[in-house]
Amino acid sequence: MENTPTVAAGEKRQAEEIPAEVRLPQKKYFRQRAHANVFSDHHLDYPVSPAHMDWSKNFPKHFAPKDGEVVEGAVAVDSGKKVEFADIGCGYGGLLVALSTVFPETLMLGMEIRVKVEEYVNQKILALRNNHPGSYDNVSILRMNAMKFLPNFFEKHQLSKMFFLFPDPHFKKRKHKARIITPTLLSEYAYVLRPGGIIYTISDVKDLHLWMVKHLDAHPLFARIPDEELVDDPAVEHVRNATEEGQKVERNKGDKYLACYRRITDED
Amino acid sequence: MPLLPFSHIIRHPTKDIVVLSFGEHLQAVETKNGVIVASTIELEERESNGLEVQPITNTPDAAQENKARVQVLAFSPDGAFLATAADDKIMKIWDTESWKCLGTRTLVRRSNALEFNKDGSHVVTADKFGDVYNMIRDLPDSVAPTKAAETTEDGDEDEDEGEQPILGHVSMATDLALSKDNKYIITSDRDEHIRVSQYPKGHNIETYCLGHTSFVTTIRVLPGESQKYLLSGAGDATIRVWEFLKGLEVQTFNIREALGMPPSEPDAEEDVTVFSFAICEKKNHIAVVIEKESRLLILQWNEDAAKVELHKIIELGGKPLSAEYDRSGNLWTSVVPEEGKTDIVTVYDNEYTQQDDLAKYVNTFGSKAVEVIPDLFNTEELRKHTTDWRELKRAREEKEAARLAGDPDAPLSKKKRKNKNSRKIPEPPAQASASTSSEGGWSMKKEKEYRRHVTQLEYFDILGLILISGRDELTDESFLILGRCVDGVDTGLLLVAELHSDNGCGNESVGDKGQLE
Repeated sequence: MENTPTVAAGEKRQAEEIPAEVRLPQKKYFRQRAHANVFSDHHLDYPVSPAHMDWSKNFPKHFAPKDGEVVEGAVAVDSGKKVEFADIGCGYGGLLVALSTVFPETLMLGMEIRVKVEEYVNQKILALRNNHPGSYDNVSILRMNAMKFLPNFFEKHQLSKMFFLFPDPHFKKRKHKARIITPTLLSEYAYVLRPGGIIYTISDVKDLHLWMVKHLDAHPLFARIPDEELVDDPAVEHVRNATEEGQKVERNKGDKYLACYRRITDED
Repeated sequence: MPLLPFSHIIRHPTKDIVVLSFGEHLQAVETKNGVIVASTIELEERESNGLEVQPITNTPDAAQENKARVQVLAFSPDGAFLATAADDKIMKIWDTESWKCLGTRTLVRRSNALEFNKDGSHVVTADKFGDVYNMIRDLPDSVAPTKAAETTEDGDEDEDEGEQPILGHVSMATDLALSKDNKYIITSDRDEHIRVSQYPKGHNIETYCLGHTSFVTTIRVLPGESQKYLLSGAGDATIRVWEFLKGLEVQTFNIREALGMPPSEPDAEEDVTVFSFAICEKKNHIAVVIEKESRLLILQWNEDAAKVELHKIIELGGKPLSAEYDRSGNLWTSVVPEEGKTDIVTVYDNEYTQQDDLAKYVNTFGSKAVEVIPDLFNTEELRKHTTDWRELKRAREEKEAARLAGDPDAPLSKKKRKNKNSRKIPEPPAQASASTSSEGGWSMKKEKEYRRHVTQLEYFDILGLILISGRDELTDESFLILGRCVDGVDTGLLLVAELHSDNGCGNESVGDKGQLE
């Protein structure tokens, strides 16, 4: 937190309190192989349940520390907001940064399993908060295995949007069970996603795109959103272009396959 | 020679019979007189039983003979069928009248829990990969195993063949329970979760019951009018009562307190672990089997207060494996006998007084003699060994300092250790270096460095997070730790090779750098 301005809650910000511009972290120091074994027992910190989660470290302007301690720069009372967007496997955080100003009132969280990438995004967000006071307080990142521990962080129907952008294709057949979209995992996503909420998927790998479409089509709790409806969705442009992966595909003139689904209900 | 103890005891829902399993075998015992009425083994002294023992007969197919240890058993609610699943993934359905095996099928993975639905038409299993299947009970002997979809490496479209799970955990499933009305299915896993889903539409998750801080081992719906309470046991020395449809924890019962044990050490890797529950609906009693604890807890369930209370502690003659109440309320317990004792089964009456008569047949010829009793406690795979590498480093340094100080018990010289370790960590294939040298920061030189570290580390084989040249039971993948940096900037980075069972030696995904810290 040393990069965040030390402004007490409610106190008027003054120009001289804001430290000089902090350099954004450089990605080259935070490289890590693109894959991680999602089935391993990584040493992860996760709350026993959503009620146990202390969000103040991630969103100090929205959550007071759980144990009641007074932290400089943090609010003393919760703003009452909850995380609503989750970017699963957020990578270097391009989408979060882009959406932060598009949806300034919405809290959004990236989840990333690779530790160095998480460090990079965290430093980037802290630097952005420092350099643009009042902005980027609504985005954060956690190192997490979202395939295992989503219900530890989010209550039933808490989220309104989930993003699965350029996920690990796990090409080999025997690795398909490690893919982030599977029939059984979709049920978990449907649990944390409120009815009407949206899942965004995009990939440059056609096979993976078809796989995701196949399983989302088959799942009773998701319905494809027609392309013409997506035109008005301000998130879609960023889903296509804001991520580092998306830009890489752009540079290589590759294809991008988008598929978005609405969370529906089949309960009687 | 000692008798092989019984891993499981389960009561017949409508008859005065319990079925006991030992190794691959089954034994049906009349609970009124302790007589063995049916058995998969040829009993030498059938006559001494007083009654003829009916053979429990397997399918004619010799290949399907009982070989592997029975892992789970369940009766259909009307008692007409018994389902068993063994370590070899073979599930069998038995007719409990004729004691004949009606059919077998090979499951995709080892089943950790098994239950019939209320009309007995389906068998629900939860497996070690976390998938839950709802299978039709009646199956011809030669149903194409669902495994086919898994093993075919070529074709693209075979993934949808075979049974599809109704729900799945990305973790080992440890137990399942159906609500009495069969509207809900509750499943537990190794990552502390208890999930409540609709049955059979398992994609509708109602809620989670979260509170356990270690793997959940066993869950049971508690008896009573309301049918809304769930009991859970775990590796965190607690038993919890939940209002399961609300995901609400209503009680935490501390086992250490009940047994007069001191509180657990902070950061201890292992704690008191509940093995299983036996429930007596008549008395609302719950017998709690605790791993390697010779004391059996008897709890009183009070539905009005939504609470379990300690009723009694029974001192057993060994480490318990299973407990079950029979239909008249007698408690059958099975143990690995302690030194100097031989009884593998002890029966207690309604007042928890020992009833030697009922157990005498099973204790004399109810099992088979073995040279050595194998390890029948199987919770090890549930534990996560998350020892901090810093601790290990400190331990190594202390040991090294002791060695330098001339301690005779100090570890062997580096060279000898290296040799010893190199047997356990074979040389990686050449491609490993090639495929890992490309990415940022990771170089051949660095890899060499890491590998040197590993071969010099004496503690590498207790890292535990990822098996070292071993098999990850959960993913069916073998791992090989090639290197690990314990100092410098990249502390905690692991280079892990995945060895593929299908090609013997990882030539594609070698160099998967897992992240430890």
